[in-house]
Amino acid sequence: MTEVDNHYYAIKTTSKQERAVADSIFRTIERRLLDIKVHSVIVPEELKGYVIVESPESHSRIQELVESIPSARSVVPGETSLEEVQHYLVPKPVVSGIEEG
Amino acid sequence: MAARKKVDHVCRKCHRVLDADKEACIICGDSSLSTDWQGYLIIIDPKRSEIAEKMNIDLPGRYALKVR
Ligand SMILES: [Zn+2]
Repeated sequence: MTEVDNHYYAIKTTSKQERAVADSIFRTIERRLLDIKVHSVIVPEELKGYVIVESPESHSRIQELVESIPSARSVVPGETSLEEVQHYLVPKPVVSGIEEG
Repeated sequence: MAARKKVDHVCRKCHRVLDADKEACIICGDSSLSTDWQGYLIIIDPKRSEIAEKMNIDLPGRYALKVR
């Protein structure tokens, strides 16, 4: 993979709307309704009321995105790190078909 | 939660989230689907996403982080 400069921002959502917000960010980016790049959206089960976006954009651009997404409230000031986000990921094995245990 | 809409299915093999009416995975064809899953991940640009790289995902779409 080429060197990329990705940032991780936490977006505060209305309670229980985490997945809806993620879907709506997906639609907005996919349909290019806004000229903002987002590479992924992470909704950890443990993190109630927030979604995390992976993006090369600045904080203020993500704020712009949030303003167009229903149930998305605000961008948490500052950034989170890939290391922090990784804690929420449970990587699936590269090789499939192997029984656990 | 009583009045919940139909739960999406997740492929146990590739973790892809599928619409509730699907009987097999649209990506890998596996028919081992689960409704017991947690965490949600949307990969929009797999080539530029470090998360996609960590998760060994190379197709855009919706995934579950944990599947039972
Ligand atoms: Zn699959």
